[in-house]
Amino acid sequence: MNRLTFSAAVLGIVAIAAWAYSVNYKTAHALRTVERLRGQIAETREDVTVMEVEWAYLNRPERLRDLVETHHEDLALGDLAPEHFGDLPAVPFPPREEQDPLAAALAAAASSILAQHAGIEAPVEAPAPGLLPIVHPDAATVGRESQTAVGPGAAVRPQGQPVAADPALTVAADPTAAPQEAASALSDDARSPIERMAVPLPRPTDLGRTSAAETPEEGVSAPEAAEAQSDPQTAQTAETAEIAGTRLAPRAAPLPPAGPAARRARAAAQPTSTGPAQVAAAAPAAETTAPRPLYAPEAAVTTAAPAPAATPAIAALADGQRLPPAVIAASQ
Amino acid sequence: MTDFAAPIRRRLAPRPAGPAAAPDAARAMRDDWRLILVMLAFALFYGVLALNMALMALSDPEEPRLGRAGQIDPVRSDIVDRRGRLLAANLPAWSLYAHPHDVLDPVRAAAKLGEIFPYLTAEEALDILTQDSRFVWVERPVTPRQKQAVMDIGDPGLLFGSREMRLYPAGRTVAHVIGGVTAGEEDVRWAEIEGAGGVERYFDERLRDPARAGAPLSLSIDLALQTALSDVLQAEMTRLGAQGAAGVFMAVETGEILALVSLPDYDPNKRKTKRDEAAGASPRFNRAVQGRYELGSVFKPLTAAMALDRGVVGPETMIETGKPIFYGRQRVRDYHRMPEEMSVTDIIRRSSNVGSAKLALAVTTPHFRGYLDRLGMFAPVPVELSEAAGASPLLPPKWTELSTMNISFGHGIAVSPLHLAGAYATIANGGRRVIPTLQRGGRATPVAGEGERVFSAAAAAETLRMMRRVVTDGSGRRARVPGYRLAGKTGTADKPDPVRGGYDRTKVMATFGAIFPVDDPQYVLVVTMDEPTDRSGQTPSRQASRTAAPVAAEAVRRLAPILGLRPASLEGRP
Repeated sequence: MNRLTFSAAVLGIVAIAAWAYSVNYKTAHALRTVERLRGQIAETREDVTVMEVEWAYLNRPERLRDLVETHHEDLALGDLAPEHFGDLPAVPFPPREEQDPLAAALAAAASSILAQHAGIEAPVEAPAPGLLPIVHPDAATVGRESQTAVGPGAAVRPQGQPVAADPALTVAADPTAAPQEAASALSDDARSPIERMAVPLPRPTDLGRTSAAETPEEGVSAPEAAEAQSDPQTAQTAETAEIAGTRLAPRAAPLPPAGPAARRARAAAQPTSTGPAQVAAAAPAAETTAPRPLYAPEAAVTTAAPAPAATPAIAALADGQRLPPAVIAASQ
Repeated sequence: MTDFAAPIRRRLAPRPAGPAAAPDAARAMRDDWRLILVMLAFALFYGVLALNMALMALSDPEEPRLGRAGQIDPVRSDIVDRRGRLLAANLPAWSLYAHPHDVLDPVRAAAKLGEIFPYLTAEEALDILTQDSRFVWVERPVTPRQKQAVMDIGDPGLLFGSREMRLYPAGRTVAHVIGGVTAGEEDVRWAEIEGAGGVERYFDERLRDPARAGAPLSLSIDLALQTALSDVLQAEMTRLGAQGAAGVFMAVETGEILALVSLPDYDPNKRKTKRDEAAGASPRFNRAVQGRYELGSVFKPLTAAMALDRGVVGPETMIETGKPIFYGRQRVRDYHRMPEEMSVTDIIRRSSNVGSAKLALAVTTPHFRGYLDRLGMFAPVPVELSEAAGASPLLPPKWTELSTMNISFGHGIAVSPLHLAGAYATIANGGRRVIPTLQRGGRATPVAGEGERVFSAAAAAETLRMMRRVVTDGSGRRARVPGYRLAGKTGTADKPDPVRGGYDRTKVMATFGAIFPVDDPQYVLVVTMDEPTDRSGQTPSRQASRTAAPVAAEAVRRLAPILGLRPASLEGRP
């Protein structure tokens, strides 16, 4: 009995010693790990500090000023001045009835039968108004792609932004249906949406140059856009543009789908590179010949001015001018 | 096998009676002692072990670590502006030292070092490397690029130690606010960084507090405003050919200084040069805080506010201003001919010295002094800059009625532009004292007198209306800014002539103090130009109305949009 207890005790001691050794070993290992991790944390923190300092150094006022001066031709950035504040009342409102979502929904419901056959694309989500709502240079091409894919309702939107259906119009919208029918049902100018997407501003920009170079017959040259502003209805807008169209203002605003009238006016002016008189003459003619959506020419001209997109709120307003295609269909 | 229990059994066994048992008992006793001795030895042995373990267990659980972690970390927290932009930060860098006995080719190494380091010539480097000592500092701090260049020399006698280096990303823009640092105690492995000026020195303890090392020190400065004000002053200084310029821009309600500019400035990332050491025009001299100048007519609104607060006059009270005031051999007069009688508003609007002196006399000297004291004109501004404490206003040694009259239009007292900004902010704040601060969100603990009422709200509002008239149709017409409603006052003072004594009539300090927007005063701007001359007109002018006022207008034009203040209208009416 004595021997049994004794050997059991010895075994117990050995077992405990082994356990204690393993715990000891694990502790030492854990300590080493902790130490290593602490070192890593310290190093990472140091790296972060270095990068933060470097970022701050790269953003120092003197360097930013130099950069602004170096890239003045491309960016035309300048100091913020009191004139850069725009007035909201200076932004033209689109006709009220077209803004009413209820009316749009009603129109959509009324034309649901037509839509079921035509399959009209739902309106596209507005481009997110950023700090500087400058249209992506690729906007024109994106617009063209979306045009062939989904029909004339597609408007300028940033690349990669998903197409969101307006809940009010989900009944009418069916993106999978054939878009050609909708396009033909809408108007005869479904082929050339590009001028709705990006009308170059009076001042030639990258966007303007690109689109003009790529599509010479479709892009509108800068002087014409300026002349289009001679429309008395938009005189005030042009003036606002002059006031607010400053060096910090974005160069291009997202453009609502222009009506056929506007397009024809430009098409008429294009081949002969006419002066303002001819544009003015062409516009009323287009009005008489084309089935004219309620808002079209005014919207086209006003958004060509850089001013309305100067602030996010105004950009949103400009977006509001884009009409659900269902309404276009209904209005015709 | 040993029978451990035998002695115990023996002892516990009943003792046999009789003399024969005696040797047995003695043996038993001896056995017991042996046993106790062995037990004690064991107890002592294990006791020592247990004690040792306990000591180990009770000791600091931190494992002793080697290398960089073992050294003392010279912490110093970052400094950021009110929007979190980095103004000062620590950057890990190196120091270069040498063991001269190990340097293989001192001449070649010295020549290379002279090329690498801007502050070290080859001759100096050679001196250092040929010293007869075991250890010499060569250069510190050393940037990574310089370190690489030194490594390329490949001399075994040149060695690197690690140390922190203070970097100011915003550079000269905030130089006068931040100040700078110097190395305190240093070692091969680390160096203590001590504040040498500005905020760095004032907040030295807080910045070095390891408990708060992680939290950056937030200043009330806005880097965008600071840059804009600095740009404007720099451009206008060049245009007006001024020697220097100072600008203070502060928020009324909290007393936060949003921008504090003193020109000429310096790059805090560079070392002091000989030019910096020169007094007077030293770029390191903070004109806005350290500079004490007779600021001139900008004091008149303060005098008017006192008179209104005392109730001795109303804004339309007529005061005789036609004739100079004689006091002994001295006289107080106006530079231009003034009407026989003027209202208090017109005295401010047209800046009449005589009228202002009469207002001060109506306030009476003891009260006049009391107001100035409560406006903080007799003590340094308690702003969080190490230089501020030394900038006590210069007062007349013997205060007479003439002093009162002179000071009523800003002569005979020399204060810093920051003093004036605080006084104007007090008027803008409805008469409650504002003390400028550099801490974001205002002071955590108010200093004496802060928020104390100096003028009645009515007197302050009335004074503000008069200052508005200065800008609409007075001496400050050139400070009009389209879209923003400014109130302000010009001030032109001849500079003292250091050589001949008295005043130098060809050199002036031109100051403009502005408060805007007038209807809801939020900001105060004080600009001071040193020796400006406006040559744009037909005749060159040094008057503040033609020098400082346009500078203030341009500054407001730049600053207000950054603050998000919309212009009232775009038509251009002030």
